[in-house]
Amino acid sequence: MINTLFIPCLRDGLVFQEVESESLILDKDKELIHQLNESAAYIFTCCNGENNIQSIIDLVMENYAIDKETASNDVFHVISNFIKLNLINE
Amino acid sequence: MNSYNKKIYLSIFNRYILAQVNSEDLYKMINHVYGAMITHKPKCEPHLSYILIKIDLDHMSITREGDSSKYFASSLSELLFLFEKDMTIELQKIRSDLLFIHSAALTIDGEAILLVAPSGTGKSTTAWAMINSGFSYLSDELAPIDLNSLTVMPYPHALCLKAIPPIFKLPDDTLYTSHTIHVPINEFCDNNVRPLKAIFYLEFNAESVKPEIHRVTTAEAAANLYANSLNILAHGENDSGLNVAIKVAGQVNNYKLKSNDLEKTCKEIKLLMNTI
Repeated sequence: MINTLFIPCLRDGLVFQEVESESLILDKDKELIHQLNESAAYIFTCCNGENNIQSIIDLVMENYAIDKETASNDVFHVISNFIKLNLINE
Repeated sequence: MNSYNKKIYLSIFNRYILAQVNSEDLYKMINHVYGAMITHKPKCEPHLSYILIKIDLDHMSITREGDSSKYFASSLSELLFLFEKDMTIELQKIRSDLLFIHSAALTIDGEAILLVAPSGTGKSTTAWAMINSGFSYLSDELAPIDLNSLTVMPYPHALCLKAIPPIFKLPDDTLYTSHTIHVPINEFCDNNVRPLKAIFYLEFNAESVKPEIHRVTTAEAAANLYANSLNILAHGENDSGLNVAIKVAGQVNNYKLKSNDLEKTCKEIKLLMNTI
């Protein structure tokens, strides 16, 4: 179970490419492509091994001008999915 | 002693392939399936040379010059499969500049459209229906794209079906093997290189009352294109080829096509192509 102190770090072998208002992530190891909307892509780019979840929530709040609860729900939801998809080392 | 020995030259993607056969029925099979690509003996050496040998109905083999392996088949359809498979792989090596997509390719009003889908979805059946609805034929399974000009090259082998289609009767000279049906398409061929106008990502949906066609984003199109490319790793940066899929998808019209009724599908595609 992740908490706000968790520092998400992207797994090796991922290729990230922005495509208009969306993004694609190519997982070369698993031979999968993931399609992200803009906000999920932003959260993905924040997972740089330096930001913890709380920092990412703060960044999302600032970037999208949304309240803390909405930002928190979004960040936890997206990062949980990234972990399920094995894009982030747990 | 069998002294039958015939040479057939094929012109595919501006390259020459020689198929040498030792029996009349092998000759007829190659002629039937690749008739639209047969050419005269070229001045240059062929780029690929094959020898197809039939000993009897259950014992056949195929070898390629420059490859020490010999592949054996126990039926004409199996031999054809081996020939097609090896030739497709070797052509990708010879024309590594082209991006090969696993898709059907047809033309209308001089422009190409692709039907992209995994095997078994109904590409060839849909292609057959489209041919009978006014479209011309480039290929039913392999669409090589020139990335510089964004054009599609023809690969007009006989249309290969796994079952008799529900509509549009097959011609009398259709070849039936134990596993496949090969429909001669010479009269429907568009033997020209054509600019790519649209890509349809095909899904068969038995629940559909009518065909559903809707635009997809470049990102979704690129993901589908990437997944259905045969040699995309040979293109693009960082050996991923993803940027190539994005570049192609970004330059054409992309649609998801959920299909059930073949005739209605053909009508909808034709109507759409008239508007874009």
